[in-house]
Amino acid sequence: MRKALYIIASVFEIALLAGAYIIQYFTRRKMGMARYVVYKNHGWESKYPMELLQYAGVAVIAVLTILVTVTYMKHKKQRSVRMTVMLAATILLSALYIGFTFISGTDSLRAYYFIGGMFALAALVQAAKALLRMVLGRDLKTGAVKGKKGK
Amino acid sequence: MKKRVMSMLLIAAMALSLLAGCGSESGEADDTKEQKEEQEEETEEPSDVKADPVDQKKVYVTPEWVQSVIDGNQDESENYVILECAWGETADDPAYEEGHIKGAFHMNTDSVESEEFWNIRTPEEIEKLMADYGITKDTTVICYGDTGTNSADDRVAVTLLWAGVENVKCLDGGMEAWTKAGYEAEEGINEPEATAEEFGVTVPAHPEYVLSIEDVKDKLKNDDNFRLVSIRSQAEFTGETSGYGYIDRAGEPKGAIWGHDTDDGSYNKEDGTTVGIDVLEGFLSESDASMENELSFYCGTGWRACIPFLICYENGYTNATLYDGGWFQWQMEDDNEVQVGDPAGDSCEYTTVGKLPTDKAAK
Repeated sequence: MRKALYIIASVFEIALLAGAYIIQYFTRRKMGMARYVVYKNHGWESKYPMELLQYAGVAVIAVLTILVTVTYMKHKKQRSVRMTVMLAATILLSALYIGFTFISGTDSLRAYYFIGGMFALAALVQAAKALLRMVLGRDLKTGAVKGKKGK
Repeated sequence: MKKRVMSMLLIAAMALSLLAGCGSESGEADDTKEQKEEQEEETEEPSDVKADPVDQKKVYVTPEWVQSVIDGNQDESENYVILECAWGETADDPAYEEGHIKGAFHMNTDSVESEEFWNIRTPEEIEKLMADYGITKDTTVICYGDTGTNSADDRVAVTLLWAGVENVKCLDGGMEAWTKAGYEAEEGINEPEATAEEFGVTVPAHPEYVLSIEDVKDKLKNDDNFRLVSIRSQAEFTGETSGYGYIDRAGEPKGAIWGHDTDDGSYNKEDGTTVGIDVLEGFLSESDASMENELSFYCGTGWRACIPFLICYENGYTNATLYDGGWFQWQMEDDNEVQVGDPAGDSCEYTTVGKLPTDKAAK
């Protein structure tokens, strides 16, 4: 069950990144799509404090990434390769989202909010996935859960 | 473990390709200059197409006339620019790269329209755009789209006239007519050369060509001779659909009359060329309007309505304008009055934008 959820989450992450690429592709090539995206941008900007939401998103992702890193560091003796990969993926996706948020904008990229949202969600899923794995301890070398060191 | 590493690599590759795609938004192909130089070096068969001169006010011109300008057989040959008008960046316009009229530059319609309501950009922005394309008020600008029904070129043409370019033409029937006439197309990308020369007149030289939403509201209320003419499909006019995937509400400004659609070919002859003023008069008469009225054409966001405006313009009428904001801007304000249904029939409902259903986006 847990493995199935892990696979579903991974597929979801890939789908989000692919979705971001597809949205960007069609926003550049289809006038209707570009105008739909711009219309949504204006709607969101008038309804919600988009800048504040972006900073909140960045803060949440950053805190989660730090949490994952600290958890990883704590399990110094029980680290597995899988945990290291999980940490690397978390940092990569978080950096992608945070970097994208600060480097880009709706002026240079019409689908900025759409892509940013998808990056944020992918980073969130990855961080949650990594954290759960590490906290529940399934990835410790011994396979024991947290608090029951198997050495 | 192997699978995990593979999935990580896949994520990284997708992220990198996405960023690469983002980065190229304003970029152009590096070999553009080389291609242009190569094309210039090509030896070409001398062409000697002649066509009758046309009045400055004449907008829709034949492929023969355009070729004669290129061949140096018209007064306009001295100072002209050809624009292939379409939505999107040059790199995203394969039709341009695959074949355009010799010397034509790509003009992205986004360059003339601002994002908020897709209305004509500010005078400063348009003046800069003109300079970037080497256009002054004395430059003859020949616009064309892919077909006669495509109104991208008409949209750019109206913007140029509004700005103050004195001699603006549209290739009647577009690239389709050009190809049918047997004239050659050029491949590759041409980059316009900017001019430091002054535009020659304050932009806009003709603000009277375009009405704002406030102007329209005022005229609908206070001018009995004013007719707001919808250049949209019948389904859009009667409120069955907004006609656009991104517009949720359907209807028309209260008081609008129907002037037929350009996208369905109503403004084109069988050969794809633009109809005359007689056809427009016929459409107006269906709604008890005529060329005696003060007319303002509109559509969804300001492309289609440019065609009847230009027909009026080239026939010397000065009582026609373009309501630039169209239905898109009208349906943005909840208090604006609207009609849903045919105002000539019994079933027409009058309400306000805020009370309209929001499930009318085009599927």
